[in-house]
Amino acid sequence: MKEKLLTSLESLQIELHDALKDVESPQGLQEARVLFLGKKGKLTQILKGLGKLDAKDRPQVGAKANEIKENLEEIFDAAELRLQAQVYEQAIAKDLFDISLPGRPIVQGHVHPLTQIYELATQTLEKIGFQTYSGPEIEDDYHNFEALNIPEDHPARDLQDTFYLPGLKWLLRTHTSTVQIHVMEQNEAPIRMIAPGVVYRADSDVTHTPMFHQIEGLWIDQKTTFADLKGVLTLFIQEIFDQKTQVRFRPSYFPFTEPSAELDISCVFCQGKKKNCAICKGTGWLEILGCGMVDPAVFKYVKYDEEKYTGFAFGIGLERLAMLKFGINDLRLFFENDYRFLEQF
Amino acid sequence: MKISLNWIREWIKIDASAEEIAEKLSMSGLEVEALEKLGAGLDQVVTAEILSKEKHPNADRLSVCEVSNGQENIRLVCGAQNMKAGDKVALAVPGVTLPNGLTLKETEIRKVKSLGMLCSESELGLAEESSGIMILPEETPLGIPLNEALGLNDEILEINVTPNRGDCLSVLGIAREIAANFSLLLQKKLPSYDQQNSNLEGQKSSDSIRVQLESDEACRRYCGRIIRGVKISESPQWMQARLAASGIRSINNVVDASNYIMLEYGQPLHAFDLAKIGGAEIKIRSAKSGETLRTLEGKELQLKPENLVIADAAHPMALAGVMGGEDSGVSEATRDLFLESAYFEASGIRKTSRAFAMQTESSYRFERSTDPEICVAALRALSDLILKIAGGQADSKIIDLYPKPVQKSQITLRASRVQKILGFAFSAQQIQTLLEPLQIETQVRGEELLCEVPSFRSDLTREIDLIEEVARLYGYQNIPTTYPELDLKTLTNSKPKEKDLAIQSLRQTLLSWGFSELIHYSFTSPKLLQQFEQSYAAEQVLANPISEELSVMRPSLLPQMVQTLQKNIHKSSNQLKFFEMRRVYHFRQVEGEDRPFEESLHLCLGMTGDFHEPYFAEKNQAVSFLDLKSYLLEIAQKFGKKIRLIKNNSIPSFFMPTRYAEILMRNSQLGQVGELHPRVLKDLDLAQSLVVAEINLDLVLTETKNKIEFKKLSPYPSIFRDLNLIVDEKVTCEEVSRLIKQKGGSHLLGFYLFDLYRGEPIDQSKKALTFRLEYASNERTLTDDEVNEARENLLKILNDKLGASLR
Repeated sequence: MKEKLLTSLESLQIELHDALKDVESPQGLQEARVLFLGKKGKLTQILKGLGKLDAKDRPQVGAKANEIKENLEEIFDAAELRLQAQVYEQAIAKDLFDISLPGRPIVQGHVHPLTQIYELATQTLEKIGFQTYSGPEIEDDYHNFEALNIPEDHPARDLQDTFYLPGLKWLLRTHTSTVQIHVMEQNEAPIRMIAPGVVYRADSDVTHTPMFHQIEGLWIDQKTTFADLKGVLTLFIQEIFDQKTQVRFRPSYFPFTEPSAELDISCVFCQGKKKNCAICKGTGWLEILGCGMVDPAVFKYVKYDEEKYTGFAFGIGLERLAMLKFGINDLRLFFENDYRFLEQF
Repeated sequence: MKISLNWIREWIKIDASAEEIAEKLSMSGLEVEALEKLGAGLDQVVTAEILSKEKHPNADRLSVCEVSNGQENIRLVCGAQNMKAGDKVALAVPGVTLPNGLTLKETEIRKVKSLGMLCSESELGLAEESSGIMILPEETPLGIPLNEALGLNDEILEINVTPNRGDCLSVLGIAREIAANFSLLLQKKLPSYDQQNSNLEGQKSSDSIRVQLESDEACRRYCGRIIRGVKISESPQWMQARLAASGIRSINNVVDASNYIMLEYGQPLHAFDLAKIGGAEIKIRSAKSGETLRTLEGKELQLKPENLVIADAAHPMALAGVMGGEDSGVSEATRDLFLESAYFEASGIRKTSRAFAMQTESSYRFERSTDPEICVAALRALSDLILKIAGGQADSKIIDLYPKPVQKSQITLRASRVQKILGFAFSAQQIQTLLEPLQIETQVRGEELLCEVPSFRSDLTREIDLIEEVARLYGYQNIPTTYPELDLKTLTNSKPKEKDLAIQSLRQTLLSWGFSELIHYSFTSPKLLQQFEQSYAAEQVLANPISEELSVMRPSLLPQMVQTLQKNIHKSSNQLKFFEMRRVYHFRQVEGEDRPFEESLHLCLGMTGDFHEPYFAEKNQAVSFLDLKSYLLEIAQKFGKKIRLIKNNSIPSFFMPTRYAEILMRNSQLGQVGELHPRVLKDLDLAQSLVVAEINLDLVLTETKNKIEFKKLSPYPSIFRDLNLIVDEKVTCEEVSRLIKQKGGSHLLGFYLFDLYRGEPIDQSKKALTFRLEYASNERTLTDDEVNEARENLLKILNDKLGASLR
């Protein structure tokens, strides 16, 4: 009796293997599960004989029955996984998805290239230790000219065609240097300020727009020197372009700085290697900013001790920077607001 | 300023190439903007003479010429008609490449061999167009390179002379700079004149003219000389060529000579017709009110007392230092001359030249200060030149009125100060060596130098001016590159400012919503402002605009936004979202405040097209007022501000009246938002709607309280109920919402409008609004009953107050 039961239990496994061979659907699998493990299933049928066994044989057969049950369940689970995998495979086989179709468009706005340069330059200078200030665009003669050592009837006024408002008392600032004066009027040294902003000159042709942007910088302390100016501006230029960019300082003239300099950088397009380079005209150098040591006359206007303090100032044209950085060939594009231009940035 | 290098080489002997000289000048502060090689490509073309000209045997329009280059005779075929035997011509032979790129070959034209070509001006690159071949002056020697024959074997430096360096506006000045930079000495000496021992060649002084210097402040020195019996004619070719290279037009030999000497010495000079000087008297005086002067250019000037004039006994003859008068100028009939060489104060000349908007070669130099000590030398050089090219006899005497000689600047320069400014130590001796080539005389006293500045360097008056010269001569490139010492404590206040951060953050938000940034000019057209009903004060219209289109400092960003949307729709895209975040300007006179202008930061948004980019055939919706409203509310919320959109009685007529709102923040006006009126769209030739808004961003960004207050998350589930209301059309969504918010009960967590329906079976005067309500409690799970009760109560109130019924 005991042997018979054990044999029946053993053979259940083989029976199940055979039974599942042809099963191809979840329903077939479910039917087989009922047939073997259901309330009236084969395992239950066999176990009905358990009651007729000797009490001493029951534990051994019972243990075997549990083992077989677990085995059967494993077989069912494996079959189910196999079937499920088939279902996926069929679904995949039927899926005609074309990954090359376009996705739903995501529209991101575009930052104006001048703003990008403005932020890049501002952030770079802030890292170096400058603090950002702003000032009015509609100015008086004093802040735009006089306090910057450009008195009435100074030929340097010719360099800047000024827009005036009616009555000629007020004008549109021709440079951001005006902010230097405002900041020095309101603060004691040391000063490390930058002033990015819009400026205006009555000039309009292929290479001039009547409105453009500058960043002004001013660094004043007791030991600030021309050698420091060279250091700080070289650092700035190499941060903005790259470390390989060469700089050179060339004597120049601005009424509010002395000594004054133009800063040239090695041509970012040809590195001075092309004789016919349209950007540097074969010179290998590009003029990029004006700078110099603050003229003592300016210190007099703002009542700084000109013997104690020295400082340097600089002014950068942002349009020029943006043109070099992005390879833009026409200045006027900045203000035409053509979306085909804007969406490239 | 354009200047001939050959001319400069008359003053200094220098082997360096034009490129080396240009580089050195640029690096010492005289920026060479261009280096032009005259007659490039003309050196292979030679001068020749036509010996004979015959008709071509096989062609009516061609001729066969025999020409000589001085060494051999050449037969060639020529198609031009304008030459004859004996003419001097420009000859190119096979193998020569012309400036236009053509390389000549031996050819045969209708069975006649042609061994060369006679060139036209256009083929030589000397003219845009030309008819016939170039005929050279009779006296041209044979067989010399054409560039030489034309005086074109020269290099022209175009130098950007900064306003402080008036002394460099001449050949002499540039030669001095080159000499200083290359450690050379000037070759040519200035002509001298000793007043006491005047023994110049010439006629005995005839004392026929009396010069009175009345304004000796405005005119520090006045020199003159008489030349009699000149013959006015054309200038010699070499002089015309040099003047042309400097951009000065040739007039006649006397005028050209004074321009020539001005270019060479930097001293402006003027020649009067002696016969036209009334009363044989010259006065340097202020103009009298009511006096007029007709200039050489034929312009009639109304003079004022602040203008300095050169007058005869009765009338002004010239505007001193600016321009001569027509009546006293040199004409073909002129026989006798009075030559003027003076030193005028810079600021007076500038005032006058500005007042009459006349800038001449002369005023340009006087404004930048000339050399008071060169007046006589220049005058002598001019008279010598005139005698040479126009004949005549000069008076032996030079008139020289110089009552108060200009003192040379004496400056003390401290070596320690040089170091403090430049960051590099120089000894007093080193400084002395650097300044010497500039003709600055120095005496070393310990660490100080006593410096005497030459008379031509009027720009050097202060210690700092000399420090710049030290740096310049030493070479900026040789000054070390260092980093400033920085006190870390002072760095703490260099944080970016709150407002700058807010602006950056807002820009990022707008970008993520798909808005692209615009930058318009700050000035715009009055017409455009009028079209969009933006008022502005007359005080914000530029006095000297570039054009009317760019004349008003804009009081609003909106008109240009509309214009740019329109332009882009017409040009490329009808799906656009733009923003501009810039200043606007208002004239506002506030008592006690000096500045009558207000500059405030505005934000303008503009949208057009479908809300989503088109995607296959998916249903899409055009952007509307409501989309822009959402963005505005979101922006306000970002900065912790509450804004309200209200209907307004005064709706600008360019807006669609039903789709317009004024934006309020704490009851003050913040801006406006709306869709454009169909009439305006039609005027703009647009078939799609535009939605625009503008707000004052300064108001939004002041006192931003962006403090986030965290609310605890409820562990209990929410219960949702829909409220499907029918209300009168007149009842607004806002009215219903406000009531729901107030009366929804303590457990109402939130709600939103879920659907809006008009149409059957609902009455025409009504609409259906469906809200979804969310109830929850922080303490427990709510029961259906209490939620239902809350909803019933709300419904009752809605019914009472707004006549709402359940659908």
